[in-house]
Amino acid sequence: MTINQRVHDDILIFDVTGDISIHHSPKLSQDIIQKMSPDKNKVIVNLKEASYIDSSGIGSLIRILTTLKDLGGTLKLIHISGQILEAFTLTRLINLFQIYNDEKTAIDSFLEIKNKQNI
Amino acid sequence: MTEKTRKHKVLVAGPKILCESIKRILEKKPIYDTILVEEGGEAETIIKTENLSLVIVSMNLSNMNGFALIHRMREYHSHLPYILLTSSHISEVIGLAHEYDVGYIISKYLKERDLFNIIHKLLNQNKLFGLENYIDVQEKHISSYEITKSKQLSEVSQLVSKAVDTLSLDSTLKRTVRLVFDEMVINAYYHAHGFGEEKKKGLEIDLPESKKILVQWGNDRDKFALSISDFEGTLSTLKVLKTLSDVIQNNEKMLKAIQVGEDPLPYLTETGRGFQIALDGASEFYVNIIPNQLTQILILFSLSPPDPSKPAGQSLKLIESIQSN
Repeated sequence: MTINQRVHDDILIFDVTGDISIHHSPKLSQDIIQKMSPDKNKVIVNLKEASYIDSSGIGSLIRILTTLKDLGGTLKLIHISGQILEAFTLTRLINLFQIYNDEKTAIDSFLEIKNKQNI
Repeated sequence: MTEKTRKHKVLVAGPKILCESIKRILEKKPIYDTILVEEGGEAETIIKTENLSLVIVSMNLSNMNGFALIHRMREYHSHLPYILLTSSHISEVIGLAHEYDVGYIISKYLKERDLFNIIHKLLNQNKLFGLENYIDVQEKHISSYEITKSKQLSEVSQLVSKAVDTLSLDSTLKRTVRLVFDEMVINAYYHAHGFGEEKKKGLEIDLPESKKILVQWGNDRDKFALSISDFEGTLSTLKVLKTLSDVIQNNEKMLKAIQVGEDPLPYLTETGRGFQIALDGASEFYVNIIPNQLTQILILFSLSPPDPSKPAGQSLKLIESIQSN
């Protein structure tokens, strides 16, 4: 598994590639949580190139979600399909996450929140 | 009368229609006699007076639930095999199963042949263990792999996936087989040997000398089957049921919280997701244990498409059976 980080305005975007299974999933949450702070609390995890996830991988995403909540932020997942979607469905945790079809929609949803806060 | 020709007396407790349909099925074989009752009280009386081989109880009795009846009957006959029949999805009854420590829960929609198979296994406890007792193949057609190092986990997962790829299954089911297998084999490898913390951290671990996990797989015309055995036998009925009950009930609380706009995260549980995935993803699921000696998880996937006349998730799911020394 590899994780590449990008930044769009104040949004952290992580592109995850490969299998997110038991021996890799702790790295996923560690690497992403390490980059987060009260000022950097908008996170998108892009799973387009992720080929497989198990319950430990979903557990890591939950850890990111709970840490972000403590920081007053939000996690959005994008490009969930195939095995990744099936794993979320089987664990019945799909409704726990904000899921978007693509990066633009996820970014726009952050901007909508920002605009509402500014009104 | 020899053991082979001995008649087995089976008590069936439940609504009249269900009792009579089970009677019709069982009495196709001359080795079964049935006693039918509709009320829990009658069943309790019979269990004290008759020499029974097996009890089949419906979830819905006129004056009590089936779990409570099994719980009370076990006070008289702790080793009497029983089956609880329900039309509910197992996730809906898992809380009661945990409360009454009742593991044999099966769908009342199961096929006649499956009912006979289960009864045969319960009456002949030595048939509970071994993949060859769950699929119609000779032992030589079963593949085996011994795991002693965590690095082998991905290797065996690939071998199982390769075997599944040769079968005419849709790609979703193939991926489900891999996920269910991975969840169960990783659980067995780490938890059976006391490495729960190492699992959480995703650490690579070699098992202590002489410890191993045995994985076996094979298929017949109807099913692809996997068994995962550890030789510790540290699981128990209550542990499996509690884990499942906690994760399923917390999931429900989480979903309700989401629906009403509350924070779902307090209901998240760290454990049990693997079991829940296996229970939901597999067609049949068994956990057989000889305490302190062996835990054997058997997971079966039907190769035929789901029957649209049956409710979803109504396949056979036996949570556990314990064979004492």
